[in-house]
Amino acid sequence: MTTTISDPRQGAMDSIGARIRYLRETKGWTQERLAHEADVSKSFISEVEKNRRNPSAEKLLGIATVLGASLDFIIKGEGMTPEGPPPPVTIPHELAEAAEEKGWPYKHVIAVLEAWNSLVARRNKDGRPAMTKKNWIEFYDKIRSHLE
Amino acid sequence: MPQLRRASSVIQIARDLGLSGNDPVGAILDHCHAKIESWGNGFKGTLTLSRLHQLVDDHLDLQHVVVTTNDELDELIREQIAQRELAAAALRDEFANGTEAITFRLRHARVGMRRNLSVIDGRGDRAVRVYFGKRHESSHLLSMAPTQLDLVFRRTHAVKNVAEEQLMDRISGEIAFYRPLFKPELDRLQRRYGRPCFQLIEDLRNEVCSDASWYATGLATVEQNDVPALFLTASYAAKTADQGHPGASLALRASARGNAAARRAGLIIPWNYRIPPGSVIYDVFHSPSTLSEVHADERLGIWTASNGSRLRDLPIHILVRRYGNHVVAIVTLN
Repeated sequence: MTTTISDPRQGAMDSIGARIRYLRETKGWTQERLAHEADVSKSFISEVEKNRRNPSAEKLLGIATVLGASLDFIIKGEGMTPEGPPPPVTIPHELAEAAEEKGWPYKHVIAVLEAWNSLVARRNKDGRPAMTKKNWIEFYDKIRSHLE
Repeated sequence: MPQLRRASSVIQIARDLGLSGNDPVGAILDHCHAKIESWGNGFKGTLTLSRLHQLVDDHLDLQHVVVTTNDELDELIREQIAQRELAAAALRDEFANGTEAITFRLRHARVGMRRNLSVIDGRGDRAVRVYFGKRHESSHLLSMAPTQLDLVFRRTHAVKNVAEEQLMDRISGEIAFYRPLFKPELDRLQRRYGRPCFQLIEDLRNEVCSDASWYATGLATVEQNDVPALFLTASYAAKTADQGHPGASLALRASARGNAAARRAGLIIPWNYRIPPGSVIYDVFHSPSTLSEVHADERLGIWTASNGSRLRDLPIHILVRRYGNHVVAIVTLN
């Protein structure tokens, strides 16, 4: 299924050029910056954004990589809708204990849990214990100033 | 390897991926290889090693950010917090406490942007590990079942254990120097020299994998070689049985990684054998002023262990040089 995504600032993103332009501007980059990062000329980026040039698969992959964007989105404009609301959560026992002891507001507990759940992997030679009450308190302290 | 096969975390990863059998490590590696191969086959352009890495990251919905200064790290944290990615607030402490790279799922990624962000600490001494670090983070996602990223209470790789780390390093090695792309280039360039050598490592870095460290490229050059060869690093250390014991006597030993051809030919140097004073490796190690590459023809039979046993007396050719604070050598059969 192909979904044409539009953005109020950009209009319909119905071409490769329009989507590259949208992604570039989302990052706050100029055409010069994108050209430099992707190791192509500025005129190349300009032509592509105006749909006057069909970039090769290699060039598109390079552009997607430096923009941190999905190649599928650039080529087809599909599949990259924003992530929906999270499903209902269960608060781990250790986190609940920490929250009760410290008197954290409920919305903070949810925010802490969401932040922790967003960690997918970490590379640490020493390893890490599973989350204990103490770990939750330490993690909360790291992000607390950003919770309001 | 046998220990890794039996590790419960490794068995669990295989199970999550729907893999069965007696060798979960081999099954996971095959699984990752099949995925990469299918992505490569679906790409409509010409693949190089660096493009393959880009393609793998694209399929994993992953972008890497390497921070090389404190200011870059601060700026990244500010940017992510501004986009309500609160996990980023923990980055400074994570990196200060031994974490070298961390991957998190962006909760508020903009339309069209990749949703997994790996932040790699490339400051100071950690810079040399960035290339491998990127592949390591990709390995975590590559070895997760798709549903694990969608569940709220999923098994993540955020809580680590040693076996899982070793497994990720194995997968990283497969991706970093992906054999179907690296080996033909290795064979092509090696025709200039006939056997693995230090200049070949430089050539490969110049032409095939410019982002990879010299050391990692050296290991891959030997491991994927059809010529029997060892890549070794010399250091003073205790033998295995004495490690961790205070007062254990130290000897100059070799940490040697060999290829399949070397194993078949009996070209093996176990850790417990000492680098003999008659070897050029010993000489270079004890001559810090030797900066250039040195080579010599020797016999492996001069290597001994503390119990008096000797290595098989094979004729060998040794190339040795300094690499930072280390002494490394490439050993081939004569």
